[in-house]
Amino acid sequence: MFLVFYISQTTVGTWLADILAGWIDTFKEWAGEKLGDANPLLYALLIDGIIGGVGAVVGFLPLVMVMYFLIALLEDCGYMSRATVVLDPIFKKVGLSGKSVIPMIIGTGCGIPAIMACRTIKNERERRSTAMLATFMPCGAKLPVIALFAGAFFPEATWVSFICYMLGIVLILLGALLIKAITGMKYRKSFFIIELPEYKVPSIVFALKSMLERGKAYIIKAGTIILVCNTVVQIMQSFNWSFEAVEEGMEDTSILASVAGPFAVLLVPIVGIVSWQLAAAAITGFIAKENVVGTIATCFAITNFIDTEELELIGEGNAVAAVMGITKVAALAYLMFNLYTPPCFAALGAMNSEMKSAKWLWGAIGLQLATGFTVGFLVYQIGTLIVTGSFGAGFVGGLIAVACFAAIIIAIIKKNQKSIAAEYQLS
Amino acid sequence: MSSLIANIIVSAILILIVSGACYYIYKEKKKGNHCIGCPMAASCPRKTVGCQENSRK
Repeated sequence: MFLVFYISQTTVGTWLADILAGWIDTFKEWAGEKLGDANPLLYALLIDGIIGGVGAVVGFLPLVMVMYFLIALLEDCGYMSRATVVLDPIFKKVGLSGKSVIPMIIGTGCGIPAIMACRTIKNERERRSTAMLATFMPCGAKLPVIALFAGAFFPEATWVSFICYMLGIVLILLGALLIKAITGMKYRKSFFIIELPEYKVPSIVFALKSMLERGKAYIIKAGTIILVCNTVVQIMQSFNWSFEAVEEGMEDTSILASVAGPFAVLLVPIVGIVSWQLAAAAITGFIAKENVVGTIATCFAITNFIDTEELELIGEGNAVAAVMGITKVAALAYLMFNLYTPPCFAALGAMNSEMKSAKWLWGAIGLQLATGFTVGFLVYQIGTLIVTGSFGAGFVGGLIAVACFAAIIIAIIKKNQKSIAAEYQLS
Repeated sequence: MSSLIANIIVSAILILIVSGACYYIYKEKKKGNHCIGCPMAASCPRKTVGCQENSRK
C-alpha cells in the first residue's frame, strides 16, 4: 500500500499531474489574455472561478487515476481479500463485526457504497457502528485534498498519504471501542466467512478499465458539482450583502467572508489564524470533498498546486504555503480536520437510511465532528510545540472544546451504564 | 477586442457552461442518480435500493 501512495503521489502521478497542470495553466493564461478587456467581475468568474477552480481539481486527475489503477491491480491479484482477513480478528476485538472489514475497504473508494455494504451485518449495533465509522477511511474524493496538501507543503514526504489512511484505521478502532463503551454492549462472537481468491497475475485490462471508469466519473463531478459550487463561491466572494462588487483588498467584506467568518474562529485551534478562506473551503467540502481544493484555488486565486517550479522553497515554506499563510503543521492539521469530519451530505443521507435512527445519526455526526476537530487540534498544537517550543494560537479554546467533547462522552457512558445496570438488576 | 464584445463572449460562455452543468445535474437527479460523478457509481447499490424502496411504496 505504501508503494501505491509512493508511485501515485510522489513519482509517476506527480510527473503526469505536472504536465496536465502546465496545460491548464497555459489555457488559463491564453483565455485570460483573449478576454482581458471584459468586465473584471465576469473575468474573475470565468477565469478564476471556473477555469481556476475546476482546473485545480482536474489537475489532480493523473494522481487519482494512477492510484485507482494500482488499487485495481491489488484488488485483482487477491491482495485486498487477504487484507480483509488480516484485519478481521482486530476488528472483532474492538466490538465490530468480522464483516465490518468489507465496508472499510470499500470506503477507500466511496463512503456511500461502504455504508450500504453495512446491511450485510445482522446485529443492529454492529451495523450502525460500522456505518458510523466506515467514512473515517479517506475516500476517493478526499484524494485531491490529500494530494494538494501533501504536494504543496510536504513535496518530498511520501508518508503523508500513508499516514492519512493508517490514522483512518486507528480512528475506526478507537471509535469502535468508544461506541462499545457508550452502548455498554458485551463482547459477542460473530463470524466472517469469505472465499479467498487465489493469488494471480492481475489483469492490466481490468485495471485500465477500472481506472478509466473512475477517471471519467471524476471529470463529470469536476464539470458539474464542482463547477457550480465554484461559480457560487466566486459570486459570493465578488459581492457584498448590498450586491455591490467587492473592491480589491476588501475581500473581507464579501458575502463569503461574512458567512465563513464565524466558522473561521472555530478553526483557530487547528490552523492558528483566522482564515475565512480555509473555513469556506471546509464548509463547501461537505457538498463534495473535492470542493476543498476548488474553493482554496478560487479564494486564494492559485491554480497550479502541482507544478514543481511553483513549489520551490521560499523562506520557510513554498509559494502556495506563503499565499495561504499557514505553517506546515497547520496544513497537516487542517488536512486531518477535513479528512475525519463528516463526509459529504450524500454520505450522511446514506448513513441516515442505513441507521434508521435519528439518535444514532446525530451521534455519528457529533462523533465525526469531535474526532476531526480533536485530531486537527492535537496535530497542530503538539506539532507547533515540537517545532517552536510553545503551543499554537487558540490552545486554550481548543482544549476547552476537547474537554467538553470528553465530558459529554463520559456523561453518556455513565448514563447508559446506569440504565443497563437498572435493567439487569435483580428485583 | 472591444470591452463590449469581450463581455458578451464571457457572459455567453458562463451561461452556457453553468446552465449545461445545472441541466446535467437536474437530469441525473431525475434519473435517480444520488451522487453525480461518483467513482463507484457503477457498483453502488444505493440506486437499485432506492428503486426497490420506491416500488414498494
